[in-house]
Amino acid sequence: MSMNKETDEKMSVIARVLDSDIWYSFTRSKVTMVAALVTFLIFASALFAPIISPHDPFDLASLSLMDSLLPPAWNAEGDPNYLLGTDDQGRDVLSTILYGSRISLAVGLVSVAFAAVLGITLGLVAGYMGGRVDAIIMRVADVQLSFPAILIALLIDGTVNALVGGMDRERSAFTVLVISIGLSFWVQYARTVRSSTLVERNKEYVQAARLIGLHPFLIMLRHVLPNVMGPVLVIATINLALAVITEATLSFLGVGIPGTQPSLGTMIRTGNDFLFSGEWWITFFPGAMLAALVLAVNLLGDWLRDALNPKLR
Amino acid sequence: MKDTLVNVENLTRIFDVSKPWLNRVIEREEKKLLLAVNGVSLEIRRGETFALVGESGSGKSTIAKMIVGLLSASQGKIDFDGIDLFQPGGAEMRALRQRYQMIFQDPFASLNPRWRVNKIIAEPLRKFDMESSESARHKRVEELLELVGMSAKDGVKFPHEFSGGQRQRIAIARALSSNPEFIVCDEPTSALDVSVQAQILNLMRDLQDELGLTYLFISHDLSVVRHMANRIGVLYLGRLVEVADGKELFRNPRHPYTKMLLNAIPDLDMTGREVARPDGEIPNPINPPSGCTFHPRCPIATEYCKREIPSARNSEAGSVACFEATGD
Repeated sequence: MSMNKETDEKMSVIARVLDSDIWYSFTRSKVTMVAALVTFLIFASALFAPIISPHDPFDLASLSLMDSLLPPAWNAEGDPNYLLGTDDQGRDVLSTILYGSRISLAVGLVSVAFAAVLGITLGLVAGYMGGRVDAIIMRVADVQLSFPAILIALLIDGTVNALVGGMDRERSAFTVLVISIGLSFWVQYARTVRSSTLVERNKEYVQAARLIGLHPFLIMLRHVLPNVMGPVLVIATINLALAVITEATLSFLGVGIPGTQPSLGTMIRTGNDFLFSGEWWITFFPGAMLAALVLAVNLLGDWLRDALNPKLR
Repeated sequence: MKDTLVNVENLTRIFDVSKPWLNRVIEREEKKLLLAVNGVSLEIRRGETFALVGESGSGKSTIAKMIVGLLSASQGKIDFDGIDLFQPGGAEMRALRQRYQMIFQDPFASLNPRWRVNKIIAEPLRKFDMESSESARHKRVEELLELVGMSAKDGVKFPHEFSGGQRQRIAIARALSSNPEFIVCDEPTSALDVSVQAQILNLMRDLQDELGLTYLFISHDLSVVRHMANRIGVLYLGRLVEVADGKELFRNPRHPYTKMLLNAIPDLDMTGREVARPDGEIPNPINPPSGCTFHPRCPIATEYCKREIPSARNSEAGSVACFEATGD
């Protein structure tokens, strides 16, 4: 590697990325490029929602019930001001989707990260240490698994509300959601990582590291972790979608994000009530957005799994 | 003449193979213990290759793992160059660890698949702070790669880009990187092609001559052992039944089990010698036979052998644990 150190330094970061194996495999797969583009567009539009969206759906003063339940603009009864129509509160569906995907993505990403860090750590320790540590962690996981996310969320929400006094509901909602979704998802990571760790720790490269007296913590971090991350990445992408859906369920039950600042899931649930009366657009467009997001992220995850596996390079 | 590097005394390892506690209570079963290694004593002299042979399940690998500290011993004592391996702590242990290394059986599992070869070989160097700078370390890795007959440029590749023989060379380079005196080789060629086996064995012999290494060589393959070993220990069911000089053992085996093993070697020289298949199988170590554990398969066993356990008898040529064996 040091042979081309001088050339390395001359090359800019961009040039090095363009030269890497991962970039090569990226350019070889059209599906991946489309998925990346879609993911990028969704993330960007969520990030820049205040700039690009035509209305501010969170500004309750600007809403008018006169404009409620308008169909999309291309419809005869549509209003060109509201491209994708309005919901029952008179909010512009397009703007609400942009703002809502912001909240959904934030909850999804943070709770998945929280669950992954917690689950990977506990799984690694349980699998590598074995014995009593393993038994305790995995029994806790079993107990955890028997509680649905909703129950945990209700419990945490109730506790938090009792502590904060229900005044800061809007601010605490996000944290409560992230913690309750994270706490109900970590078991999956822990189990997957534990079972892969059980296989890896008996392999001879781990024994070689133990032989020279490397600290167990360093063996887990340097040797075992990179070799058990493959399945974790796939779970994380699938879980991102699941977390968004769980968030929707919780929000619907009134435990999650308040209805004044709807997330994608909240919109789908609200729109669901109007589906049979013909107002399909309230639920269809946020649903399409969610489906596109989940599909694109999953496809990216699949590609990443293959690209990071040195055996398939 | 007698310059002992590793001295193993009365080494014993018991594995608990019983069912979980709840099952035992419900099914009213006793604890099951497996005596994998039973009172093995041996000494390995500086600069020699000591081979341990035996069928699978005889405890070869367990002994190797206990010597390098991957398994704890249930009983017994291991001295490395006069220092008790089970006693020292801290800095002394760290200094000791640098002096022994191990080459593993499966070259496909012994190299971290996510690491480049450079990093794999440099790991012991990093751990023991052996080179002052990153570039000195890099230079040392290149030297090591060339020492084991590979190209210095191979360092940037991943393990999966190499064949089994090349991987085993990389594993040897890693084992050599901390400048050890003693290397435990746990069946280093059994996962390799026959044509590659000879290359690896010759490389190991050359390295031994060049660097003055001491090997503990573990194998089930007597023809490989014949090529490598100065002295040979024959294991049967966790017990050392015979220890002798390499040539002496092949010329004049004394223990009936050794004779049985030697008779089973395929006759490649076409001398017309009858190849006898070994009778029976190694017994279940959870419930070993009484007395001499070899008596059910032994052609010369007496009633006495079924009751009493033979201890090792030392003589000029080595030691043998048998009541009936004669020196011939």
